[in-house]
Amino acid sequence: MDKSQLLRGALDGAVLAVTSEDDAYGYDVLRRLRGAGLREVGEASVYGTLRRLYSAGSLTSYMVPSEEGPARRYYGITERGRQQLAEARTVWHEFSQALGALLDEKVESPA
Amino acid sequence: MTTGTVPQDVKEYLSVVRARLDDLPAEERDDLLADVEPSIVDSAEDSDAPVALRLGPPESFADELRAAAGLPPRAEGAAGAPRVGLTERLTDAYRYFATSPATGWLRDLAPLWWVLRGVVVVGLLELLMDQSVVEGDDGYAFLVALAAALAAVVSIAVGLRRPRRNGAIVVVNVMLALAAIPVLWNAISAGHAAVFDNAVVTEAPVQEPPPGLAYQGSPVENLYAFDREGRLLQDVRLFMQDGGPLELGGQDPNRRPVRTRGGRLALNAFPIRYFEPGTKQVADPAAGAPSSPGRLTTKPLRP
Repeated sequence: MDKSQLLRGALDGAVLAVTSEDDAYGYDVLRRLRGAGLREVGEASVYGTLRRLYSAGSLTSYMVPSEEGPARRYYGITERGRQQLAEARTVWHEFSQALGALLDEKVESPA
Repeated sequence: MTTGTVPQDVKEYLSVVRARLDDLPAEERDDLLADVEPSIVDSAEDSDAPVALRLGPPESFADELRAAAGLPPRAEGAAGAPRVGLTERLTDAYRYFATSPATGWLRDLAPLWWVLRGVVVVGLLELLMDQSVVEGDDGYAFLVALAAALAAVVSIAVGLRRPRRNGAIVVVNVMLALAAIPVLWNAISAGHAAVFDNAVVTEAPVQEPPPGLAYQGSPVENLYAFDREGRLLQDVRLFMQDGGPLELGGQDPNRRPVRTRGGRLALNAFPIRYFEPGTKQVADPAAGAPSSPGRLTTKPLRP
């Protein structure tokens, strides 16, 4: 499985994590995800995910006029979003521990 | 919202994305795009690469955006969508076929299609000329095979050159794919015929007429001749236009033999009569004849 496929499932958590630090608009979120090492993340996926989390009530949004271009929609995390983030963290830790143990074992066995 | 500083290529890219989302409710689509537009503009400022190169084809971008937003996949032909011409639809389908990862295995089979395409062209010509390999001789069959092989090579060359994908090529390909059906059907039935013919040739090449005398398809077993007065004639010998005797039936032990002066059996003497089993007697010399056809009134011909 390549990294972008793994990422697709984990994107909700990643986007919530980024917005929990600071309110951000679409491109901000993308930059911060990429800055954190998720270079494979696609722009369309990030913008679509933001929209979906907003529709689900995990994010709130407000418009900020921009000097040089169209107004930007900033997203901030809601209480519901924080709950979802906490759940995502738990699930991810369990998953990564289990998979980590499994994959490490597999790598060592042939040696 | 001001869009004055949006670069031209970004504008064009966004308009294709917008068109690709045209089956969504207007409000939903506008919300989605209001989010995307400033972000794409900003990301375009951070990079020198053309927008389509960084973000991929706008159609894929729109589809990914829609999927990530949890919206249903594009409904082709949905109400409110602008009417699209057949060629455009085909081109769309072709583009999907040519780029989607889901059809990758099909694209790997493309050379196979190129070969088939060439053969189909020759098969179609042959079909249109209404000539089948089976009807022709071996030389003709060889020519057809050669033409098919040549056409396949040309078709592969065309395929390898990767011409610009346009509507016309898509239409031609679709038409050839459809033409493959009658052509292959013809080839299969011709193949059957060839096998059948070869199997029969050694035994009975032509359908032979049944032996004996026939009148309108029914066998004639006996003949009765009457004279002008309506009297049944016995032992009338019949000959054909070439002078040959009109012989009927074979040597049957019960058949009353009629012999010539030289002792030859005359199998052309009618009516044929049969003895009563075990005797040399004909029970009824008039048996089987019509009772009386009546006398003729036309004046007789004098030789």
